[in-house]
Amino acid sequence: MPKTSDIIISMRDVSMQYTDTPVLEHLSFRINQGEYVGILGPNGGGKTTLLKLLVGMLHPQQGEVKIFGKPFRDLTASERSTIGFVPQRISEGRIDFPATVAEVVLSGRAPSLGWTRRYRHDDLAAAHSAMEQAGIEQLHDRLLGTLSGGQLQRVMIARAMVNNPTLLLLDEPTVGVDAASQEAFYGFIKELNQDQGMTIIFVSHDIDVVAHEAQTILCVNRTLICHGPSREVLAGDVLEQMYGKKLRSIVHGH
Amino acid sequence: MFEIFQFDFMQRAFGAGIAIAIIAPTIGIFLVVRRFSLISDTLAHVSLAGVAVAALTGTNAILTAMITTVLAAFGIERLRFSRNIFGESVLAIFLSGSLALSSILFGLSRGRAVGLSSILFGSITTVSPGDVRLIVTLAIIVTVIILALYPKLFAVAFDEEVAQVNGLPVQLLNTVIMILAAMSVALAIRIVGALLIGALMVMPVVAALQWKLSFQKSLWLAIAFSLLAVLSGLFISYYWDLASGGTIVLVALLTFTFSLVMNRR
Repeated sequence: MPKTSDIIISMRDVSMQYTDTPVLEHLSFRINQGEYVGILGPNGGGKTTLLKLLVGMLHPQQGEVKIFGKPFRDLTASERSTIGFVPQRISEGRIDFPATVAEVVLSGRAPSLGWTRRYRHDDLAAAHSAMEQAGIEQLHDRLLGTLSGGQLQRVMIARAMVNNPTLLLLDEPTVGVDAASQEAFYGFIKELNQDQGMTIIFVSHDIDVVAHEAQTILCVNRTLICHGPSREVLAGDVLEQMYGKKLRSIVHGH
Repeated sequence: MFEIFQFDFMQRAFGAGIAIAIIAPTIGIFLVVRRFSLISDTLAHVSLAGVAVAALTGTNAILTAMITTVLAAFGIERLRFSRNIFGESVLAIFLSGSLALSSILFGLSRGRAVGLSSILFGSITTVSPGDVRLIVTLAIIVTVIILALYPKLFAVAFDEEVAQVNGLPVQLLNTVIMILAAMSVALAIRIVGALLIGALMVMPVVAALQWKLSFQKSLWLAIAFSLLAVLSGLFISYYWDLASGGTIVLVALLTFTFSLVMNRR
């Protein structure tokens, strides 16, 4: 049983429904500091709703979500700024948004500026170091519209990292990213987790990716179907039930 | 050549014109990048209803126009978020609704002379000393607000979701932009005219975006284009006796065409 202080996210008996059919029912789980969690589930299984609950874009209709031990609305501004969020595949509007990489990464600092302050030297330094970490400092003056899918994804990560987050949440991070960049991308995420102890939570419908990358797997299809270290989860037959297909190749390949 | 500045009314026109030339694209760029270009046009039509109220009651047209545009901006924001109506249809409803209202109000005010065409298309001779003070003061307020909020407005324009997660008051900032847009529309009626202000908020911005610069440089370039359009438009309309708004917008259109041709792939 982990210490209370190690728990970074806890959900207790959370249910959500938009129409008559529930999207999520009675979800309870905890995520500890430093975990690398893959949230897996079929399309329409409630993954995105779950992630929106975790980042406070939705509030639970029933049950309780706590981040850093508090409900989302009680978080201070500085606590909120340490939640790095990378939304699902950069939408069309953002791809051709007329701004440079540096401008976008710097914009991650806007929430912590107060009401009248403009960017200062420490903001620029933070943006620079985030770009360096994400390996995109040489792209700093390029327009977003000229980048590849993999480069764009790194820009979004760099923006999320500009406040030195303790928690990074990513929604389908590698949709529309080619295979080579995808591998480099997960290598980078793993480094953040192992070297900096950053808690990583990512959502994916891709069993292959989750099985290869995450330490902990959380399967959601309306209810919480499984939750545990990835080896244990993959050894069981829950995924077969959820997806209705054989997964032995994945488990054996690793 | 410069006897134009001997006339008080031309000095006033230039004063008001420069103020508007700066704020129109500054707000416009935040509307354009979010694909809200048509909001400025809708608010422009709404401002007509305000001018019509002024014609009926004999109050200051800029003030009544500003009150109606700001109220409409609130209405548009509320409808877009609280009800299940497509954004575009909300704009269409406000645009034609206010046009209908103005046609009736202007009809009622017949006899009390209002130069309708000067309201629609701008007229440099109608800027009173009081108007200039009002326009310049409010333009400074708008500029200060935009400068102070620039990082936040940028963050929200680029990515509402993440801005919200990180604690920015997204809805408040959206409302601020709408109110500033509504104010600028009303301020620009005298110089550019109620029907053409939308163009001054959009055209210099779209022209600047053709040059593929950073967001901040695009904004500077848009202001430069806008100043060029307003200043040369005022000169031309004075010497050739043309409607100022139309001349200004045609020069803005030229800057856009020029930018488009120069940046052809």
